[in-house]
Amino acid sequence: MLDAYQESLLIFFGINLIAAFSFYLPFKTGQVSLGQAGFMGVGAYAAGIITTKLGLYFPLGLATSAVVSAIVGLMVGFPALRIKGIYLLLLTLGFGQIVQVVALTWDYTGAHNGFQGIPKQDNLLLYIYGVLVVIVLFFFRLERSSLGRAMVAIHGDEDAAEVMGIDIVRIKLFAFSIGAAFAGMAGCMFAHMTTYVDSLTFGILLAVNILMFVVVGGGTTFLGPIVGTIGLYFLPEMLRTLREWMELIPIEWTENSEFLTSAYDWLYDFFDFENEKRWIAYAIIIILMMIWRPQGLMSRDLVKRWGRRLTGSRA
Amino acid sequence: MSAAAPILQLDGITKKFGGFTALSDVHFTVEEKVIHAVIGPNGAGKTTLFNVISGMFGAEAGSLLFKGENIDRAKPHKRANMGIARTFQNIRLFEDLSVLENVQVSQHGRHFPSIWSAVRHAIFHAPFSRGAQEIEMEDYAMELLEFLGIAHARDTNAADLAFGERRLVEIARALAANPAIMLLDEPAAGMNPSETENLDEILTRLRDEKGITILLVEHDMNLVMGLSDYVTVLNFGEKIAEGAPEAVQSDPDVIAAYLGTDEEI
Repeated sequence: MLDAYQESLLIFFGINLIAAFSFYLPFKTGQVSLGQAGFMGVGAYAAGIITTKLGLYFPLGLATSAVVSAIVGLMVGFPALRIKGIYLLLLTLGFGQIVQVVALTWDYTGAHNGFQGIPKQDNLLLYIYGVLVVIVLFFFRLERSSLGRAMVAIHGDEDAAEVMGIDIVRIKLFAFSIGAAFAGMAGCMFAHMTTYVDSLTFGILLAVNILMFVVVGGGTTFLGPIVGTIGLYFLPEMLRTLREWMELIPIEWTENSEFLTSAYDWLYDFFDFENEKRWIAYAIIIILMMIWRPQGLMSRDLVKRWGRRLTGSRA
Repeated sequence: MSAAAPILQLDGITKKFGGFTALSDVHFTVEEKVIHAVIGPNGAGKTTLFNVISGMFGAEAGSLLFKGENIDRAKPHKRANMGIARTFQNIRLFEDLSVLENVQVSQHGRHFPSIWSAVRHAIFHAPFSRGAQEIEMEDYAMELLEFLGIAHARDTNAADLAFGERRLVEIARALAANPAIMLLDEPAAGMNPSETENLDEILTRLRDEKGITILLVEHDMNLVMGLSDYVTVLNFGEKIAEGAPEAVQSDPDVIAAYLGTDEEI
């Protein structure tokens, strides 16, 4: 069975992956959002009120976080329809700030003291991976459907898609609001793992983190967010585990050689991806990605090519 | 009045960009199942006219009737689903989609009129298979690609096609929406003579076999004069002449617009 560390690793990985998918869905229709952390906050607080303040069951809290975030998503998504690119980025960034200010000042949920005493959910792992299975199946179906093609078309050329008979307003709103619902559920799971959230939990760094998962993994197939989250969340965490394994190396193996000693120290240091070093690594990764593979590690073309190789040439 | 109602009627369409009047009180009607050319020197307002008809621009004044129905307030996607399809002068294919998928995109609105029908279809139709509707869409798209002679390129990404073929994919994509009228914006631009000849044949067949009305903006005068049933001439946003191709060619106003007049010098 899993020990506590492994379980929490899998839980946080799952939460990050749901958050990555929440960015990915609106991104499919060309909407880049830095507000996904804000929607996580909305979901966390909404679910926290249900389970902590009202003492109701966790599943109800989870459902509430999805519904409330989806509604807030509609409200943010509507003005977002008219604007694109950098302006949309700023609007969603502003939304995230609003959520933080509300969390900081709302006395009912603890204001600056944070939302405390959220009950820890025992079966969180099951809930998270249950939700993930549904989300992955959803994308698997979506990307083989007419709606999926319409979304790629909107991403490519919104005006041309509209003239071809695509209802871009409805499809973009749908993507934005369901994406917000995913983020809300991720926030709910997070709150019921850490049992404490405050205005700083769902800040801009988290929003950028979520964006990075998709940009690095790839934004044109649902495999992108998965690969991105494994690469940027799971691997660094695994590297930290490597540190513990390194400590098992007997000191006699390295102490006689100056080179081995310094190599050991350097690696030991390198494998600590906590805090600031992670951001330096992110910055380097994103620059390299923009140069060599701007479409992300995974892409729709790549998946199509694999599919064709697997099934042989089509008739 | 002729027996058949005009498919498209423009009543005093005026479009301004700031102080510049791109279209000024333009009236004309397009009869059903004809090839109707709109010609005029550069900057005459031909593409603006297409943008107004397809709903990308709203007009400041005037109204548009499609099959007798006022469509001034209809959104672009509604107009497309009513039967007004178009192509773009500066080809605007969906570069990330294959040729087949590009064509299938314009079938979406007709097959899935609401977001819920689209979502339901995406999620619930026969898990792990494509479903009857997808197969029907693909078959129809392939029929159109074969009609235009580009079926071999079905899986090629639109971005990787040769120029002439990209123009044909644009026409296939417009056709897939099952239009009553197609607005073709310089479909022969950049085509070599044999490609233009092929296009001539395709457009004639669209009119005669599929009964589609074609509103054509084109600079290739041989193509326009040989192909069109009717010609409208615009200059500086105003209609200066209309009629059969032969009549328009000898109209003094048209000759003046294209070649200039002695008085202006």
